Amino acid sequence: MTYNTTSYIIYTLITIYVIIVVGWKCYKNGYHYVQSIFIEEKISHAINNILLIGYYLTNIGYAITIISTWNSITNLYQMINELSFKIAGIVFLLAFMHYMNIVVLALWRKTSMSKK
Amino acid sequence: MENNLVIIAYSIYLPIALLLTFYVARTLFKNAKVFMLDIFHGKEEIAFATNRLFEIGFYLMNLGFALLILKIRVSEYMPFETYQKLIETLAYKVGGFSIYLGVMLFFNLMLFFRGRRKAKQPKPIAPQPPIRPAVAK
Repeated sequence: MTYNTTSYIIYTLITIYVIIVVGWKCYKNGYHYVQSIFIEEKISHAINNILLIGYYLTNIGYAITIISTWNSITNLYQMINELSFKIAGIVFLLAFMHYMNIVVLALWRKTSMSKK
Repeated sequence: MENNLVIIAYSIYLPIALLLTFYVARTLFKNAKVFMLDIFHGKEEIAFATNRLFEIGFYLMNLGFALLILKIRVSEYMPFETYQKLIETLAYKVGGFSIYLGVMLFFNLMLFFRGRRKAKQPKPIAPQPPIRPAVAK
């Protein structure tokens, strides 16, 4: 087991955990937003479910794809550096997308409110 | 040794890709029933039939893509002999396939939205033939 494989395993575990927890929170709290746009309960549940699956697929897919671009690691010092840097990249990306999502939802809600 | 590792990679990649496709398709089309009922104004037969047809298309498209990107190229310049390389290649393939699946999912969702919007629009009134003025005899 080289340093690379060890860090791949740690990286995958941490990022997938973060992605799943963030997705679940967004799923729980985003439902009210979706429902305020689409009104009907059944359809907003369906949309919310599909959005959650799409979120998991694209984000976990991206996080895993990044693994193929790592440099080779030769000691523990490098391993910790690389790990924290890569995990930080994913977490920052998530944060950015999260804020974008909030902005889009807020704008959408405004337009759908003003139509009525 | 090299070929063995490639076979191992294939036998990990294939079940993951197939199971992922089945899981996503099942969840998507379980939720799509609501949309279909909405689009076809509650006519159950045609709504579920359309749902089924979309599902078959989704399966065909994604399983086809999964098999298409299966091949791992091995040559003198690109050796495939360590477990690290195995993990990297697998991660790239599975991750890429997963992103592709996500994009397809959103594409299907967009189709549903479109259908729903079209179904909600009032039907345009067919142009009426002009009424001729009555001719007095």
